[in-house]
Amino acid sequence: MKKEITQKDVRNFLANNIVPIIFIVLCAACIPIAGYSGQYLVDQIITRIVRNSFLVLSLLIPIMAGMGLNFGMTLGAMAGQIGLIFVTAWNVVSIPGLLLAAIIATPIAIILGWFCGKMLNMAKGREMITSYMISFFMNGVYQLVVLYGMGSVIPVHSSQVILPRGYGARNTIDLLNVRKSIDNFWTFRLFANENGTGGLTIPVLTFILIAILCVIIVWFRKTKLGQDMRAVGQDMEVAREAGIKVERTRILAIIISTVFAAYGMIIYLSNMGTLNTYNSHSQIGMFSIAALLVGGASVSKASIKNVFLGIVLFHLMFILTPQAGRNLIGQAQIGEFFRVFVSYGVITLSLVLYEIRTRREKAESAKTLALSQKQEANA
Amino acid sequence: MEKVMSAIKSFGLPRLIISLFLLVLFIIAPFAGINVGASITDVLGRFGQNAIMVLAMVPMIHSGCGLNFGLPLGIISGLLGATLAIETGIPGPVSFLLAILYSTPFAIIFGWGYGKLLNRVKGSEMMIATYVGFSSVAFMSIMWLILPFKSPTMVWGYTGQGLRTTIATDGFYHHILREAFVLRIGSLSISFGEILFFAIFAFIIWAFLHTKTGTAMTAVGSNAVFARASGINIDKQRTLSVIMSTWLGALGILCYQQGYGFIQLYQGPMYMAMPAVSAILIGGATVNKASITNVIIGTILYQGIVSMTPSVMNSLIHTDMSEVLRIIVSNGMILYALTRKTGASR
Amino acid sequence: MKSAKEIFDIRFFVRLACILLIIALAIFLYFYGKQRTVYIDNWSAEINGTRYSAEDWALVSVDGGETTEFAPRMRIGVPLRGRTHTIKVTYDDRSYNEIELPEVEFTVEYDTSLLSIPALVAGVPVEDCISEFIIQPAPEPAAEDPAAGTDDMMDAGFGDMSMEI
Repeated sequence: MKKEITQKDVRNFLANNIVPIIFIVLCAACIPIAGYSGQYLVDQIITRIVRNSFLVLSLLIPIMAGMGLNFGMTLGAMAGQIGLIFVTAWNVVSIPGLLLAAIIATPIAIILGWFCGKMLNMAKGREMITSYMISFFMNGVYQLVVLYGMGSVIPVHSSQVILPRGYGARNTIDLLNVRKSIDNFWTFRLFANENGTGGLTIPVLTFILIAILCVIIVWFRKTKLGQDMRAVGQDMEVAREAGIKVERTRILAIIISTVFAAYGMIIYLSNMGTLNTYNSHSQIGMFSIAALLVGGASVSKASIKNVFLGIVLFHLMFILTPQAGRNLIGQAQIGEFFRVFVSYGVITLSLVLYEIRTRREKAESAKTLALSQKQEANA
Repeated sequence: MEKVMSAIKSFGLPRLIISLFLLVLFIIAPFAGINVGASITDVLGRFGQNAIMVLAMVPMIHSGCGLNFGLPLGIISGLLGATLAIETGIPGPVSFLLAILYSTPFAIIFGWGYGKLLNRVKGSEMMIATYVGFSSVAFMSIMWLILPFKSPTMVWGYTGQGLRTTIATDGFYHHILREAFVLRIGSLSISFGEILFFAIFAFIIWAFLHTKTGTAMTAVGSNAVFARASGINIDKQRTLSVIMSTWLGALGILCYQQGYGFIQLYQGPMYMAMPAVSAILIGGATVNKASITNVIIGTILYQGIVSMTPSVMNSLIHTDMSEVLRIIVSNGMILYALTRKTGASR
Repeated sequence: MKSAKEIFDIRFFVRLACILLIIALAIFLYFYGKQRTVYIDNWSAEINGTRYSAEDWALVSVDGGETTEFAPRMRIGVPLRGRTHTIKVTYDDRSYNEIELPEVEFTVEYDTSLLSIPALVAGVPVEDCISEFIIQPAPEPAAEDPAAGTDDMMDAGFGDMSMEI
């Protein structure tokens, strides 16, 4: 009897964590093939955590409010990019520059988030595809503003940012002014050799910022608004009857997420050092969502643990596959296509598994309900 | 006044705005020094190229599977057919028939699997369809590299391995429909080949939707509970509709290639669903209602805007903002359809 | 309908104060963080009709930082954050006596400006020593237009699969 239960437990554990397990196996298989040194990998992973965790954390709050994966985080990324473009054009440097970029990005992110939230309230039950289409739509608006508005309507006149024709932002913008300024503000070396070089460089300030955001998210769950969001996420109608302003709560969840995504994008880009004006934001949405799902999150449930596990696993895969492809088949291109396939595939798999699980749970609860009604009728 | 309002309402405000916009473009065009005849030729050519991909939306909308964002899967079946046809090496019109023939089994198998998958995720088909499309495009990118194709027209010259990103259809089925039954009046030339090809399939779909199976499919889409009560196998109908959509997608891309002149592999099909989805929505379809008329009107309006805006804008203000405008209009249209209250929740 | 009293309650004023504070912070950050380049210049210069010839030798330190040695016709760009800075110049006269000028405070207004040492040494007020320095932009390579060259059906103007993260 006892053995049966454990077997069932194991099966449940496997079923609920299938995505992380696949990734662990995949990474474990790729590490020897790629042949990178352990130190290189750890160093890379630390860089990736520093870059991406703020962005991935920004996805948590809409999930809490039952709105699924916020593909609209791209909107926040756009806001962050606009902030950085201004700061670069003005040549405001280092941490003041990043702070100023954040201040510029905040109102933009709030407006975009509000728009996104309003739209999603009009499309209850299909939030994800709608937020996905919003990110496409807003990408057009973003291009209109950045490619045609900057320099002609919006007064930005730095040759570092604007195309030689006099308006429109360049394809790639060097963010020399803010490059790595948070990371290099306070660094710490682990396992350094006698000369104080080598080893791993830990950017302390960035980690503090990420930790603060984690604490905020944990604390937020316990506030009145956080509780409301969870109630709305559980059941909108019940929440409405309990006197919660459902629409307002949902809009707030999206706004918070968008603003955090804007800050996350600023941290991400300052670490990268270059801005791909017309690509960065669209890629980042997909990668952040894929990373979160790899960490074992689902459409309705995600925790901070999922975020970090996901970033480590997803980016490990990302670093390993091109090299593994080169060593295995002799073509790095295959590895690159493979990781793209895995990114999309993992999102597909998680969404499908989630749907199947939800339907099964619904069917089971309906069955128990029917059973109890039958018993009542008999009694 | 009320009559006007209700007329506008039934026609759909966005559709009205877009039609007026297109009308204005055609009125301005002669003053901007654009040859109207050539423009109409262009619009009709694009219509012929794209209409079948838009038509591919219809069966899935009817069965209640929503907008087929997974169109890339159908396109991939078409690409497989196209590459296999060229590999066979028979030039001329036969290659087009071969491509259709080869792509059919792929479309049926893929469509069947895709349909089975969508049956298990009722309620969020569209999101999953989008990602099924993306995943399959990414998966096929790997396949294009490693599949053992040999034809020198398709394989990279210097390595002799892996397919090129674009393959010319010259010598095979380039303009095979475009240049059939052409009517030329001055600068205007109408290709009846493409239009006829579309008309055949449009008629087949129209006729199918009026058969017993077709009405059953529509019943599944409009009222699943009623359909189940009347003994219709919902899952079977849905799978059938998905197979049809996928197959039409395959045909659509073949038709597109013969007009465009190139086969685009790798990430080419990635975002091809969006213009088709947007076109049928501009034509007045909703998430759960579509007709052949919607397809025709939508494709003409969408392709009209896409081909007219750049030329008119370029000659008027010397800046080509049309690309950005197209993104905003087409995605805005999809967004509008998704946020309408009338759509069933999915 | 809310009455005026309800709208302008304490909360409103707190929020207003916060917003004003953030705007003030933004303005402060703009001035504090903006980086401008000052080219310290030891070329012969003509300012307000007077000609000052280049110093044979000079030591210059900006904001108490690293000291740089200047020969004639030397020009060095110094990136400076904020508006107000100090410069300290040591030069030698005809009979090779080192003379240290007292530290001078100056403000920069332009993104790139030129500070003439000969003029400063000759006792011209520092404001007059500074002029805007316009660098001729290098000829651009072929114009880049991100939106150009995309076929309409092919992408929704939305990235591609090439990616770097």
